[in-house]
Amino acid sequence: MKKASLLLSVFLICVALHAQTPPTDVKINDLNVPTAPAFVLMDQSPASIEKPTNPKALTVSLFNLLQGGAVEFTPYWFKNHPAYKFSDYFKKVSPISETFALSAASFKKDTISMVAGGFRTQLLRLYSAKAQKESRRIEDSVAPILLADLNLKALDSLKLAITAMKSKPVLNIELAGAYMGQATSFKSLAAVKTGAWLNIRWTPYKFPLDIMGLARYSRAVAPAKTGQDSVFFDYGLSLAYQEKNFDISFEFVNRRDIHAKSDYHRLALVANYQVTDGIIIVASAGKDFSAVNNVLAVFGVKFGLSKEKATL
Amino acid sequence: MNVKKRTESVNMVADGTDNVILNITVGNAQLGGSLVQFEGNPTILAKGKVENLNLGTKASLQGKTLLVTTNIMDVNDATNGVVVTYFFHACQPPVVTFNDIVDNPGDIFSFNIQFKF
Repeated sequence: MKKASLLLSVFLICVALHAQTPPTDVKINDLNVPTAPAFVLMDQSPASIEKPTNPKALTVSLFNLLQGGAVEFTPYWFKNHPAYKFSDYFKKVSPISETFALSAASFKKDTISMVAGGFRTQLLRLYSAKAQKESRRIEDSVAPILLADLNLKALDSLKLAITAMKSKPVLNIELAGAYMGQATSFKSLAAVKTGAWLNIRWTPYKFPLDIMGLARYSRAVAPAKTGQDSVFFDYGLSLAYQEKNFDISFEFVNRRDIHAKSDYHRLALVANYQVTDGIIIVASAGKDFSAVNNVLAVFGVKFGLSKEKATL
Repeated sequence: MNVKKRTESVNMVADGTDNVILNITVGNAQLGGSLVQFEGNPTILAKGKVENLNLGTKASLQGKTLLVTTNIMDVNDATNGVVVTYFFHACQPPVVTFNDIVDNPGDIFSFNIQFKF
């Protein structure tokens, strides 16, 4: 009965969102809802190494529907920017303010509720000289199809080409951080963990894989013992392959428990599949950090509401 | 891909001794272009990117209406907001800005503005 109602909920949400957003033929990277930093700190994200992705005005992620969720928004895009031209997007090397996103997440496990707040921003986003030149060419030559005959088919192709260009910076470095609390009741809510990390993405020219790196420091607010409450330094590498409707990545992350002076590792295969515009199914399988109960099997649904302009 | 249209009218006063110059900027990292012509005259003064377009002297503009069509395609994944700014040199008001929202990603917004001198 519980399973049936869960499936019904998923179906109804899918139908509702499908009705709101007409499908468009764009790459998964454009629609992929990045995991909110708050989720990452909870160790509840399917992927430990996140691909730096341009944040949307507003995104909502649900984790197993009944257990928790996250919301992320980008304050910069809550107002208009009249002087920000199309070609400027490709020229900006350090888009800190426009990619600065705030997130909040909650996750419930048995009787314990965890809540967290987080942020992320791109410190560096580097496009190739060829991409920058192409953006200026598009800006200068769009008039015939945008003005004279309004060639919608040609404009659709152009939009896809722009999306593909945007999704392939040569180098992307993202800084993220989060602060987490947990409680069994509202009165007992207390801070338990904080952390900051860098996600680095490198896309070599004409190479089919994205190479991603991670460096993450996390610690208990008042570390008392090793294990979940300890001080960790995580570092790792991920290789990702992307197709139109799915991407798949293989990641290895080593966790150094600084107090215990010991190391753990995580190996995971992570897949994202775009069901329809704005709905991504994400799953990961592998071995988690802990020595026992370490089978990693996470499944979730991410909803991107980014296409709507957010207003306060 | 839908096209959403909006028509506006703005009263302008050329107030300097210099010729009136027009610059148009499409913001929010969206992709746009403009078509500029005087009402009742089929000659297209500019098409596409409009930079330093000389519209003429204060006397020559008196009583004329400048028609500007700016089409903007939403190519910014972060927002559906579109914004266009018209900068006039030697004119009041010197800056005219319009903003709006397309209904769906990838849609086009068409601003049809009449600048009445």
